[in-house]
Amino acid sequence: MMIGVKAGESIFGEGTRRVLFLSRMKNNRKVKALIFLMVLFLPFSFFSFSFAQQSFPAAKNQEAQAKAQPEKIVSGPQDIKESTAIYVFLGWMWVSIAVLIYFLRLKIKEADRLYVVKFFFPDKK
Amino acid sequence: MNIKQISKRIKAWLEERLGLSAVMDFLKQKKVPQNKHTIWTYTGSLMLLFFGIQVVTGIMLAFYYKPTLEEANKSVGRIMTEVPLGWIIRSVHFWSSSFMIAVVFVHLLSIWIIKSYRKPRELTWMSGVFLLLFTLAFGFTGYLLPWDDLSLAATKVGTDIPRSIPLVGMWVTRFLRGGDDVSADTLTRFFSFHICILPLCLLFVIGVHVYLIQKLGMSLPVGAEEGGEAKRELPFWPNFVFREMIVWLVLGGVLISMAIFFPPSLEKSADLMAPAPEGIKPEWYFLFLFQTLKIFPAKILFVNGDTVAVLLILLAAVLFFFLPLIDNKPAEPKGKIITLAAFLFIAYAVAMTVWSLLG
Repeated sequence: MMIGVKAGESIFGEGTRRVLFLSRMKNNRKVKALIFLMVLFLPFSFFSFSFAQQSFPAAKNQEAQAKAQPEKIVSGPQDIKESTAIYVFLGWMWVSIAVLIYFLRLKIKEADRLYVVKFFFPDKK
Repeated sequence: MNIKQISKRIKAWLEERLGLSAVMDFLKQKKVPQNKHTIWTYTGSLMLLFFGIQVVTGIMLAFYYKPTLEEANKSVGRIMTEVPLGWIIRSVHFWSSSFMIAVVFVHLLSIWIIKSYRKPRELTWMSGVFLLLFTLAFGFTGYLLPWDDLSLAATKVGTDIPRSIPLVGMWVTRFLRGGDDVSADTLTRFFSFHICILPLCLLFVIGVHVYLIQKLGMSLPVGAEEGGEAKRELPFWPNFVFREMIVWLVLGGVLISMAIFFPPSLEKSADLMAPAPEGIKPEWYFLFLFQTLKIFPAKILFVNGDTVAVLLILLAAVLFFFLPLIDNKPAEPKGKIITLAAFLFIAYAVAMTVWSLLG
């Protein structure tokens, strides 16, 4: 045991402990954020989201225009592949929302606790 | 030099030029009052969320939309049937407009009921009324763009309403239509309004509105000072923003689910010579005004019934706009009358909408 430090007390001062705690928090946060972003955008690599690209040839387009116009166009998935992709996306979206809400609730609790103990503004204690 | 040092140098470079730390400091210092009415404060940021979705999906639709008589309906049909995921983008655009209008209505009505428009927030209220007007104008101009029978008939009825206003009515109708009747000029005019003029106006009003809220702070409801609620507050960043994120996520999920399960359809291209289809109705947010106009008789004494109805609606809109100047003192009896008026308005709007839907 070092001279001048009581039993059960850290060898670091209050300021040093706070700096260490914050830097560890920052590192963890970066890793978590990276993993989170990877998980969040992973499904898009499977769906080949290509809204702004024309995937139909010009000839097909002209052919489609030449056809008689229907009375009413009903929106919806074009084929079974698109329909499946959309329902998978919908399920994934709601699961992601539930997970995000769970983490956000933890973050809110932590942020509220830090606010109550005046962690970021110790001078105002 | 490692990544950490590079990012540090980029941050320092940006900080020197933009001074973003001052903004972050401001957000950290900003406090949000906590009381039983705090729930209504979420509607403000929700409006921005839906507006953002409108802008993004609107730009995507504009890649393919063609505002001409021959192509307008066909291009919307092409978006729905040929462009990959085009029908979802159109559906999200359609539903987020409804969500945005609903949120603006709820936001204004909550401000009306808790009387946050009182001194010194009169201009905040007035800019909020402009927000509502521009949002409704977005809905009205966007409705014509698919150029089907229903949208043409609704636009004919809608642009005909100002004609009843004495002196300026005819000019307003001609200005909206770009001529005596709804035509190709109306379509291009509405398209310009929808994608250029209205977004600029709305962005300007949002800027003024947000500036006023930051300058004057969020208001406390009447009686909060005595109830001891004035001292309860929460930091905007991160405590309040995290809570807002939960609301955004849930409503964003609901929006996408609605867009997938209930996408809007498209009727065949409008014929300018064809008679209006039977039972035409505007979008849900105009139904109470539509029904109000319908219940007025053709003649009231010697005056045209439509003129009386339009003038009464205009008078109500003017009173609504100048509400902070009418209810300018925190006197309780006056406040109670104003609250009663708010609830009567809600009851009237709901009753008229239901009547119109059933009728």
